[in-house]
Amino acid sequence: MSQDAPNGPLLDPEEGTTRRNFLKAAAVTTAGVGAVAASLAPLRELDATFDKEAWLQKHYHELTPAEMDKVLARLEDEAKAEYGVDVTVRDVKPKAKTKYAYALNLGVCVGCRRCAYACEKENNTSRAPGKQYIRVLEMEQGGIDLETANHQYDPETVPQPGKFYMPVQCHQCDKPPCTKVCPVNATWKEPDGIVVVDYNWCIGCRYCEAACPYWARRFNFEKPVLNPADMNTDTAYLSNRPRPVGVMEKCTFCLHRVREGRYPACLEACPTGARAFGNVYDPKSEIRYILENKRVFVLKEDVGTLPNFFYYFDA
Amino acid sequence: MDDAPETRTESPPNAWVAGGVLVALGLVAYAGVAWLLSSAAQSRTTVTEARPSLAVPFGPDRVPLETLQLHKAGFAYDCDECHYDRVRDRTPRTFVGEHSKLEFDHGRNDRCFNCHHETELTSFVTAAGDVLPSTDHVKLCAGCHGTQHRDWLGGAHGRRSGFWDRSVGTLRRTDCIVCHDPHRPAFRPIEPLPPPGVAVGPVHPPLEPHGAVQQILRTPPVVEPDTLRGPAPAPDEDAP
Ligand code: HEC
Ligand code: HEC
Ligand code: HEC
Ligand code: HEC
Repeated sequence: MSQDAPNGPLLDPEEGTTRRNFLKAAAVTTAGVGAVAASLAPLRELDATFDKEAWLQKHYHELTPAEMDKVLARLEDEAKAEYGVDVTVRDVKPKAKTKYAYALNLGVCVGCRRCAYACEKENNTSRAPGKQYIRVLEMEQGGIDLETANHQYDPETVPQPGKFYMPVQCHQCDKPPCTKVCPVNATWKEPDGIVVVDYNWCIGCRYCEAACPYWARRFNFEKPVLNPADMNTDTAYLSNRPRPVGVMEKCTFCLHRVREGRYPACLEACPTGARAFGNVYDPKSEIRYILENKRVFVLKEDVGTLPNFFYYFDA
Repeated sequence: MDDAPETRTESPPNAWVAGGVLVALGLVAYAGVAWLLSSAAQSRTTVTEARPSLAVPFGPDRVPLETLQLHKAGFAYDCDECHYDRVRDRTPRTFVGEHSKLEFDHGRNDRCFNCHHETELTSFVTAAGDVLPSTDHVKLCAGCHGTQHRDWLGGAHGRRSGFWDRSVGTLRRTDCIVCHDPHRPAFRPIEPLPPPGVAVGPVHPPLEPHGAVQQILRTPPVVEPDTLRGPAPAPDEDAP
């Protein structure tokens, strides 16, 4: 301190830094910092609730249990801040020795869309029109013609004479094209057969939406529109927790329900009893009864996706 | 002064004993009341819960469980009040006076006594002519619709709720007459909920830019799975 003061230079003279050089460097640095700050401005404007934790969160598979607990707590706080509702977010793990399959009786379905609306409520999907996971197609009796199928039908009553109705949702394929195309591995197939999305890892490129032959994936172009009074507060990380804007979502067979032994919401809502669900590894399950006794078929068998969603005609 | 410690040392045990007796008495009384209440509740709820109604709510609950639940045509009385001395008339016909509100269309199955027992009116009849208690209405249908009944047991016909995993909870199965009116069994057409692209209720201007959709686009249509066609029946454990 006493040495440097008389010598004049602010920095070590041995490194050749003169006052002139230093000022130059300082000016450049300041300009750089300014530019970085300017480029970050949109981030600052992003959201008052912008959260470094969410930004730096690891992939679902890399989270330790302790980290997962923290993430779940954070998601609950976020939901509270966003909607003012106490939502529980759980991480429901798959059951051992279980693989789910679904069967739908087209001879009985009347196309009332109760399933689609029950799903919307159960899974907190955006109430903006068109976001429902289940699309009910109306077709002429005599064949399955997806080209001329109509999902906007709106008669006084259903079923209409000469028509039949085919609800389509995620088929939880054994060879899912959607997970293959994901560039960041944000969507994958769980051991129990359910194809899931990590909403915090998804970058919103929508490749999966394009890859799906069943039109089963939905993209949140806008922040999901939810009615806090009407929200399902029992949620799971991989299924029905409130989603951010710009991510993909899809039917998970109500993962948070079925992994606890319950039926999916769409099944319970069906007034005709057209839907059946169960564990294909259990020889006494309803799904096995149907697979063994009915002439089941899958949609677009030729594309080789090996769906776990079966249709059959029977009264 | 000497008494004081004594009372202190002795009175607690006394209080304990007294308290214990009181608690025991209370428990006994509680158990009794609970038993009374539960048995009362059981006999009471079975009337309303044993069998679910078709879309309409149940009528006055003075109809005991043993008789039919006369809700559809608005009856609130026992069959035998009128039928005890009426001669049975087997001809199929349109009813003019009593039972005229009863809509009947069961195809070729057009004889009342195919299902109702001729002498035991509050019961049903088996194919062999035996009395079938009114609570066994599923067996009644099964007698003629074996295929559907088998599928119903197997899980391919009729509606279910509860737990697919029977080790976790019970499965509930909806009975035939919840979906099919026994007298007019064809499944009635129902009103569909609106198509996905159509906004219902208070809609904001359609061309508002992104992000402005904070408020609800529409009030959700009421979906009440359980009440849609009557409540689900009592849990059924003997499913396959
Ligand atoms: C208020 C009196 C009344 C009550 C209560 C009543 N019925 Fe009747 N029921 C009649 C009359 C009157 C007829 C004849 C109607 C006709 O011929 O138009 C009839 C006819 C019938 C018939 C047709 C066969 C026959 O003998 O004519 C059946 C079956 C029948 N009733 C069943 C029932 C059942 C089951 C109940 C109880 C759920 C019931 N009724 C309660 C008055 C009654
Ligand atoms: C397919 C079998 C079947 C046939 C045929 C049948 N019933 Fe019934 N009936 C039932 C069943 C099952 C119930 C009980 C319905 C309930 O409690 O929800 C019932 C209930 C009734 C009741 C009491 C409830 C009500 O709706 O008023 C009357 C009265 C009755 N039947 C009259 C008749 C008459 C009259 C005929 C002949 C025209 C007839 N039933 C034919 C099965 C049948
Ligand atoms: C005595 C035999 C018999 C009993 C008991 C019986 N049914 Fe039927 N049912 C028939 C026959 C026969 C037909 C076919 C009618 C036709 O095609 O003309 C039929 C038809 C039906 C249909 C198809 C109707 C349609 O229009 O498509 C339904 C649904 C049905 N029954 C339900 C029931 C239910 C529910 C019960 C129990 C309350 C029941 N049946 C009891 C004989 C019976
Ligand atoms: C969840 C409601 C539901 C329940 C419960 C139910 N069914 Fe059905 N049933 C239907 C529907 C829907 C159809 C198809 C009607 C159609 O094709 O329009 C049907 C059709 C039928 C048919 C006509 C079959 C044909 O080939 O046309 C019969 C018979 C029948 N059911 C009998 C039964 C019997 C017996 C039971 C009880 C063991 C039962 N149903 C329980 C909803 C139900």
